[in-house]
Amino acid sequence: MPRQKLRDAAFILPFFGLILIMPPFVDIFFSTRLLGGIPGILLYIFGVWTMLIVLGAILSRRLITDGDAAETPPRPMQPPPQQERPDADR
Amino acid sequence: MLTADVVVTIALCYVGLLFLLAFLSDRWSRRGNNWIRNSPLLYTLSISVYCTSWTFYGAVGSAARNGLEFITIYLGPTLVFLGWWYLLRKLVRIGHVNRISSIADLISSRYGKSNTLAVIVTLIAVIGTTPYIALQLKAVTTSFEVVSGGRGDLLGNLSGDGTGFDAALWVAVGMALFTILFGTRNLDANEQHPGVVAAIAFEALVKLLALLLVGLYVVFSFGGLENLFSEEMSKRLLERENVFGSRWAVLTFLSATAIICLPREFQVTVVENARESHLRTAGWLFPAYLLLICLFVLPIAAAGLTRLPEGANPDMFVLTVPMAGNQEMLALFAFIGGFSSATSMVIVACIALSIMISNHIVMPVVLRLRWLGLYDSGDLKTLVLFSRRFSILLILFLGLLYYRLSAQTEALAAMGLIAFAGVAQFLPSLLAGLYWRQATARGAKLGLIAGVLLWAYTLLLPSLAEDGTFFADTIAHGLFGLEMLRPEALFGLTGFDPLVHAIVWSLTANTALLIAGSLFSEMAPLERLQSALFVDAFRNAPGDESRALVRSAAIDDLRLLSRRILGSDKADRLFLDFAQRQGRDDGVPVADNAFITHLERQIGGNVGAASARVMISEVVSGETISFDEIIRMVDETQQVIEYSQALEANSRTLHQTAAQLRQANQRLMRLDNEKDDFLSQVSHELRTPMTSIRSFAEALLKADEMPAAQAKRFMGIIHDESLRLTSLLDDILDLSHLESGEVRWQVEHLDPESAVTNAIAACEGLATETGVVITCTPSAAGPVVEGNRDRLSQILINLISNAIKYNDSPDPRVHVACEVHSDGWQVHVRDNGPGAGDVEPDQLFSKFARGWRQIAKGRSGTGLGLAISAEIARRHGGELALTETSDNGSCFTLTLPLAP
Repeated sequence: MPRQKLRDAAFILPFFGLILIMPPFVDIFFSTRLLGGIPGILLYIFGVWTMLIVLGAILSRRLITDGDAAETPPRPMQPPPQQERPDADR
Repeated sequence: MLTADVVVTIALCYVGLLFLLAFLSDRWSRRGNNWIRNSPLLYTLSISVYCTSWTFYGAVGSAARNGLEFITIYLGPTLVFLGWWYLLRKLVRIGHVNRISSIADLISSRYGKSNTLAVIVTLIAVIGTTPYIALQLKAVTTSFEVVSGGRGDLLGNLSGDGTGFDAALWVAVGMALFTILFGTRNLDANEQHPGVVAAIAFEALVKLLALLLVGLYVVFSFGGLENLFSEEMSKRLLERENVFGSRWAVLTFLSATAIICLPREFQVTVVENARESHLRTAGWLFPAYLLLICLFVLPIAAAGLTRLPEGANPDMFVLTVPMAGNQEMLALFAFIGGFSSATSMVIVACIALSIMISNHIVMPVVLRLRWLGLYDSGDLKTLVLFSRRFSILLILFLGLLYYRLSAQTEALAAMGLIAFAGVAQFLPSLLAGLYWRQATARGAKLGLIAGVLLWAYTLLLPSLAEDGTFFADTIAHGLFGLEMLRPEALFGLTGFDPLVHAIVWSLTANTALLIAGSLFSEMAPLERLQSALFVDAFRNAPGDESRALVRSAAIDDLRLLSRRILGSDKADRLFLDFAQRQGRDDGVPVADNAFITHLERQIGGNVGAASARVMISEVVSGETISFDEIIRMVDETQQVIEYSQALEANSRTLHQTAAQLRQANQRLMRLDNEKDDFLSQVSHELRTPMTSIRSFAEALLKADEMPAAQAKRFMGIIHDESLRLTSLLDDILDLSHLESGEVRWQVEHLDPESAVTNAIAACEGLATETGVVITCTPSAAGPVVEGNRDRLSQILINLISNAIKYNDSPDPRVHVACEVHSDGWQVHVRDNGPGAGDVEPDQLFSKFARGWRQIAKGRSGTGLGLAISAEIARRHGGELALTETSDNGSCFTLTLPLAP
């Protein structure tokens, strides 16, 4: 995926999660019936949660390889490199 | 049986372990071993200081009382961390670049290094955190009593009333000692504490493990989940009225806010962050940690409700469930887990608050009240450290006091959410500061003050009044007896949960005033500069603001100041480094704008941006903030974006242009070849008649007695050859005129078949000479085309004469047929000659192209006729083509459009 699309996906992910855990969606899946000994609503919430974590991990990894060139150097920083501004050609 | 002695001994051993761990980590890190700072795992674990004993014990209690609601407290932070790329990364970047030491420092820095704002934020943080610390002390005490059953022989006498060991006091003392030892060991420009981080990361593992073990025990002791959750239990736990109502949404929002705004969270996430890339791991690992913490909460709650008698305190299920199953070691481990979660919160909260208090309250006082003589007394570094230590003691004392005053009430349990709501007041100023350029200090102040007042009135006050001793009247009937002002139904807003009610009022007022205040107030120049630095954190190069901030100072004054705050060693190293960067050999940097700005940041990392600014202002002179430069900085970031877009568009255009140029170049090369071909052919063709003319002329000149008849024949040959040469030159000229479009001829409406008749008549002589029979079939209709009669005749004469000349058949015939088609008028000139052979049609019509000579071999004619004819046809909008060719003859077809 191109970098911009990855970033857009990273932006959307929390909102996607929010929609899934907020009414009306969470209401649809509200059930105290047991599925394999676990109440249905718990399965839904933990399922959504796990999916979000997996998606987040994949995105984080992709955003790594995609690279952010402007990664700050670790603290403590050396005095910041004095950047030459292109003032001369203004 | 567990006794108080055993529990205390174990707890002391555990604390000893923590001290050892912190001590070793600190030592490693000072020796340059950076594995703690470099580990994203330890970073993530340290963030889990979010899970206090309020989580460890309280989540199960909340689940037993309110069902699913507890999970919102963990879903909010999950969402924030999943979106780390946008919010947290920006916070961490700003924190790194600007040496931010606390959330108060961040907000104050952004709004023009305003100390007033820093004080407001610090006070809110202290008000919100003190009860939270009290809550931790209470949790430790209660859990201690539960796990030891109040049985203590050795320690029974230590507390005054003999009822038990005063755990709260001793925990407070222990934590104060730990925090002072490892939190204020030295003054670090980054406010990072590797020893503390290592200890709380370890504690994070202990509490997670303890909770998981209790959970697994519960599941196995019941023989699986299916025995734990009956349909009845599932309904009892989960089925509540309106589970996913406004409270669900507000709690999720509050917890999402808290993970950013809680002072301790800001400390571990932003201030203690060593590398921005750690967020990549924390972004998903911290949500995973929270999920694991929540995994067994409901099973433990269900077990407690099933196994323990009615009326047992659900907040202690984590301890009492294993104890009911006689699992004392497990209970002890669970106690240590709860102890871990309480202590780690207390430690980090104390560090964060002590930094805020010393930087934003103590230092400004020292700086303002000169008559105290503290500022001028020399070593400011010791003063800062001293004020940190004092602040830690003060905070813990306040926590202890609050615990003592309210321990008997139920008020503490609700304190967690009340504290969340308090720190949530930071959110509008924080977000506006990061994303809205025009947010001003005045707006932030108004918003914060209004939000906090409303929070205190609608939420804190009622919680204090819960046992009915204070303010009961105000709660019931409103301030001054005005029903409109009832704290839990302000301005008649009834029917909501008190928490939702308070959040709606306080945050609405906060945000509204922030926006209104910003719209109706001017930004000071420094504010504008800081706003540009924060909002465009990813676009400005570090050190950029030194362009806008013009000032000068004596280097000795700067050295003195930085020695007093950073200590001599650090200050000298800093000066030396900068001198090297400036390329100076004497080790003394020039006090230019860049250096002063750099120094101010370093000092700000220690004492906060606002105080650092005051101190630097004392020694600099002639400070001006260049408005133009600020505008330019903002503009430049805009320009960079536009520039890169323009660059992208340009490169696309360049790409297309290059492709077109390549095509054009290929065409030119082909044309160049053709031209070379043409030139060599032309010179060859001109040379042949010239050679024969010259040789015959020479023969005539040399031979004096040539018979007259022979001389005449020679002269005839010379004449013929010059005629051929002339016609060749005429043809070349004609063609070149045609091709360059210089020839203009008269255009008229004419019947093309009259041109056919003319042409046949013109070729009659040649035909009779060679014995060729010409037949013609005109079309039935009288077609009209637009064109020049002579030129059309020229084409047809050329075609017919070619057909005659090259026809070597024993019974030579040429047939000219005219017809009218839908696409125009056509004339076919067909012969029964040898055909054109395997010559390519387009070569046939090109001037002197290769292959031309093969057709024209040994025959008269210039070889340009077909090229000229094709050009004329093209100029008439028509086409000349070789439509058939074989050994039995060929057929040329001329097509012309009919006149409209």
